[in-house]
This record gives sequence, C-alpha cells and structure tokens, in this order.
Amino acid sequence: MDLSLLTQKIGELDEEKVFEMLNDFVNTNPSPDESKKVVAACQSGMSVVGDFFEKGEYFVGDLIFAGELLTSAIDILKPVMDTQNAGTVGSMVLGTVAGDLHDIGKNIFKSMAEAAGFKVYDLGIDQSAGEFVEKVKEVNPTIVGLSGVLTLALESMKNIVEALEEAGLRSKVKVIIGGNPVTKEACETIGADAFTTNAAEGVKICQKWVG
Amino acid sequence: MSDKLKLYDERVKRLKDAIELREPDRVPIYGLVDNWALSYYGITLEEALKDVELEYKAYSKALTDFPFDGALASRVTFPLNFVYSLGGGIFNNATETIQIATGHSEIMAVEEYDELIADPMKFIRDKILPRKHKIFQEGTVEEKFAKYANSLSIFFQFGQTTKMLAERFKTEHGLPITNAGVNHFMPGDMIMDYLRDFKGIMRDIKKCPDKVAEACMAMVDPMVKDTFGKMRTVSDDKYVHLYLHLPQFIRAKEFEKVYWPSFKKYVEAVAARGVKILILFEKNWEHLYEYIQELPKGSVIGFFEEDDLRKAKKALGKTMCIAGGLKTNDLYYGTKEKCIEVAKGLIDDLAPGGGFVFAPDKVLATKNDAKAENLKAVTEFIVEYGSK
Amino acid sequence: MSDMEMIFKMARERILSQFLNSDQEKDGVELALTLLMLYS
Repeated sequence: MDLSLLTQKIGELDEEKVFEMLNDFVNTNPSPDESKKVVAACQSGMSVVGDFFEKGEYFVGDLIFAGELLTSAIDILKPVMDTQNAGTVGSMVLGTVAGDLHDIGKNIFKSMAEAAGFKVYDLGIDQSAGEFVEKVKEVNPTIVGLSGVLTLALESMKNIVEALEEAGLRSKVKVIIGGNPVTKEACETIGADAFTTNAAEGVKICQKWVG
Repeated sequence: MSDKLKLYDERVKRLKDAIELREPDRVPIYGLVDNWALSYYGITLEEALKDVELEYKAYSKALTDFPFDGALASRVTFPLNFVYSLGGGIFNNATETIQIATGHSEIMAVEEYDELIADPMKFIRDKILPRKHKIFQEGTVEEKFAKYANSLSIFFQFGQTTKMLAERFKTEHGLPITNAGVNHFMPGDMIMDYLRDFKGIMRDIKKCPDKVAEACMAMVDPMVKDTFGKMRTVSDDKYVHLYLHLPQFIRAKEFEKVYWPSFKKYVEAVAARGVKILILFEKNWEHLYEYIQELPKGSVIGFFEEDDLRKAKKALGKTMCIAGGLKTNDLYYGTKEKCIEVAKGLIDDLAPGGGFVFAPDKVLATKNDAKAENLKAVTEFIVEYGSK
Repeated sequence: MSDMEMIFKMARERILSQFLNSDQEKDGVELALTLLMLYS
C-alpha cells in the first residue's frame, strides 16, 4: 500500500481510486498495526482537503464529499481494524448549539476527529447549555466542540461556556467553536479557547491540545 | 393625492433610480426584515401565526420605526399555517426562526433524475409531494382531497391577507413592500434544499453533473410560467425575490456547469418583461463575479453578504445595483458610533454615481441580528448624510 | 391516473373553477401550489 499515494488520492477526492486501493489492501489480510497506518494516511488526506479549503480551491461541497469519502473508507477498513483495543487520543463532547439546526459542518468535523483517533460524543442539534454540562459531567472529555451556522448560535455558545464555568467544569476542558459566524472577536466574547471555520484545521487544533 | 401615496411613489422612484444605475435623491435604505420584527415588537412566532392583526402591528412597528424605502415582506414570510395543515412539512419551528429541519430533504433518489428532467412538475406532484406531506399518504382519494381542500382554503386566505397587508402598508405608511408573492430559489437550490439534500447534491455535482445541469434547465420554463402567473401586471413597486443558496458551497467551474445556465436564463426571461429582480447573494460571491456581471443591466439589485462591497461595485457596478454593507455583528454587538462610521464610509465610497442601496449584510431574522438603537441611529444618519 | 393527478383534477373542478375563469389562471394556481408544497 502506497500510503502517500492514498493520502494524495483522498486529497484529490478520487473516490474510485481510493476504494480500489483500500479494497486491495483489505484483501491482503493486513495486521491491525498496518491498518492503523492506513487510517492515519486517510486522516492526512483530510488535512490536504483542509489545506485546499483554506486556499480557496475547495469549497464546502468538497468538504462534504470528503467527509462521506472518509466515512466510506473507514467502513471498508473496519473488518481489519482493531477497534476493541484502539486507544483514543482524547475524547470530546460535540454538538450544534441551542436554536440552531444545522449539522453538516459538525458531522464533517466529527468524522475527521474520529479518524484522527478521538472518541466523539455527538449530542446532535439544538443542544442547550444544560445538556452540554450534563454530558461533560458524565464523560469527562478533554475537549468540548460547539457548532453553529446562524448568528444566534454565538449567544448560545456564550451561554454554554458560562454554564460550564458555573458548574466548575470550564478549567477541565478545552473549548473549540466552529461554524459560519465564528470570528476572533466572537471567540474572545464567548470565552472559547479556539475557533475555526475549517473542519480539518479544527482537528489539527484538537490534536495539538492532546499531543 | 394623499401624503402617504406621494411618499410611496417617492420611495418607489428612489429604489428604481438606484436599480437602474442612476443616482437617486438620496441613498435608499432597504428593510431586509424578517422574524426580527416579532421579537422587536415582543411577540412569538406562534402568536403571530394565530392573529393577523397582531402580526400586522409587529411588522408595522419594525418597518416604520426606521426610515426604510422598501421592505421584503409585510408579515411572516412563509405560510406556515398552510404547511402545518399539510401534515407538518420540513420546517422546525421550535426555535423562533424558520429553519429546515436538517437531513429531512433527501426525498429524491439519484436514479430519478431522468424522470425529473422529462417533466419536472409532474414528477414533483406525483412522486415528491406524497412523500413529503402526510395528507397525501393515507386514506381514499376523496379523503385526501378533503384534507387538501382544507389546506387550499388556508392558502387562499393567506394570499388574500398578504395582498391586503401590502395595500395597508401602501396607504397607511407609504411603504413599498416589494414582495409580489414570487419568492423563488433557482433550480439548483431547489434540487439541493427540497429534493436531494446537501450530501446528495454535492455528490451528484461530482458524479453526474450532466444530469444536474439538465434538471436545472428543465425547471426554468415552469418557474417563468409561475412568475408571470403571479405577476399579471408589471409595476415598478413589485420585484421578483430570489434567494440563492447552492453557489456558495461549490467551485466556480461546478457553478458554471450545473447552476449558471438556468439561473441566467430565468433572470433574462424576467428582466425582458421589465420586472426588477432582488437577489440575496448569500455568503461570498467574489469567485463568481465573472459570471454574474453578464446578468441583464439595470434590472438586478444584489444584496451581498460577505463580499467587500467596494470590490463588488467595481466588478459589477455596470450591471447591477449593489446593496448591503452593515454587518449584523456590528448592528448587534457594536456601538452606534461604529455603525455610523461604517455607513459613512459606504456612502462616501459607493454612493457616487448611484447604483447603491444601504441594508444590513443579511436578513434580520432573530433578536441578536440588530439592536434597535443602532439601527435607528444608522438609518437616520443615512437619511441626512446620504442626501445629494 | 395517479392519486395526485386525481386530487389536482378534483381541486380544479370543484374549487378553482368557482372563482377562476380561464384555464391559464387555473394552470397558474396549480403551478404555484405545486411549488409551494415543494418548498414546504
């Protein structure tokens, strides 16, 4: 398996070639270690996609297609992956915030984060401060991810961070906010640790926090 | 002629001058106001849907407390009572906004493109509507018809009331409501939002772009027919409203292939009959200027959300009127002074020569899209500073 | 004839014909309703 070719093909969104390479790989009965490397190569491919997006060559449609490609790739590899003993690099509680029903970006971020080895607890859409706090108390994640597309999401994000503080949980986690309306100023007002409008970049930020 | 009617004509002319790329008597201000009107007045969406008088009071206040020259709608923009009567629909109104409940819109299979292309309206009526709406799913034909008849009465009532409200805005406030009931998406948007959903269309654009392009073209004729079915007469105070959704998510070459030809054809057909087109260019369109500069000259008022309006005017100013400029971020989180500063800069740079209309950068949908005192301060400033 | 075609036919005959005269007007209303229901 030519790992760098795989990374390249994922970056190019060449679905046919990627499936061909992965199916051939699975047919060689690889070891879980070898499979881990292949998953890592897929994840690097997502990074390449993220770079193209940052440069303005790829658009959200490409990210969505990439997210689907990654999910399908992992599905092909599942039979040869060691999912039982797979350690996780960290865990995160993720959700679209109260009042907002959009989830595509969140879902793309989730599949990329999982491919990078994170355990993701996805709360879903329209999640209140209370719901976030409860889950954080329950699973003790390293990271909390807040997603939103509408301007009202910013208010909700602020409420959630405040609720985490009130519950004495804020210092135990890193908070990353993502979506259309997030900016540096918004990040500061909301009290998050980082912000992003690029799912792949978001994963990189999370990796730095646990790495 | 009454004072209000005179004011009405003044405002219609002011906007017309701007759209036709002349310099009006002062910079026009457009009321891109949606559900924000409800929280401004202090009622909920549910309350508005139950009481038309209350709905009118709310929108009257929001649209007349500020010196708008025209507005998007006289009421809650979507006939939600009609939607509910069909058995629910795809909107989720637990929030105070009208958002499509996510992931519920992939109701057409990719194999069905040929059917859609062959006869779009027949396909939508016979295959898609029953998949979407509960009333068409159970019972005998007579039973289904009875429920549909009930929905129809709600629909007709909505139509009549909306017309009546627009008249009231004219005679009581002298305010043009440019909405003529033609609120469309382009074919590409329709396929995305109502047939194949986000994931589906993004895949289709990569895997079967010819089909997507063909389907979009097939939808133009019915949409033109619908447009002029509703706009029997052409008048300066009524525009076609287009809300574009898909282009912001795809590459320029993909836009060129699947979306642009049908978009261009539709706008040209409407402009040819002398109707103005108000277009909300969501997100950022800089990478698509080379295309939209080919739209019919002097017929389009384009609201740009994230674009640098100065760049937009340079590239598109000979084709269309540029509108927008004040971020809702500033309108809500900023100070009065900051808003006025931004407005001053916009007027200095964009007003000379005409073809500029002031508005927020996006439709005011929720409470935190604008602080009333900021909106008041900036619009009053523009009335003064933006005069010749 | 599909159920939907039947329902539309009934609506045209029993409801639209009560206040619309021309076929063109009835076509227009049917089209408007189809699109609206798609958007709902």
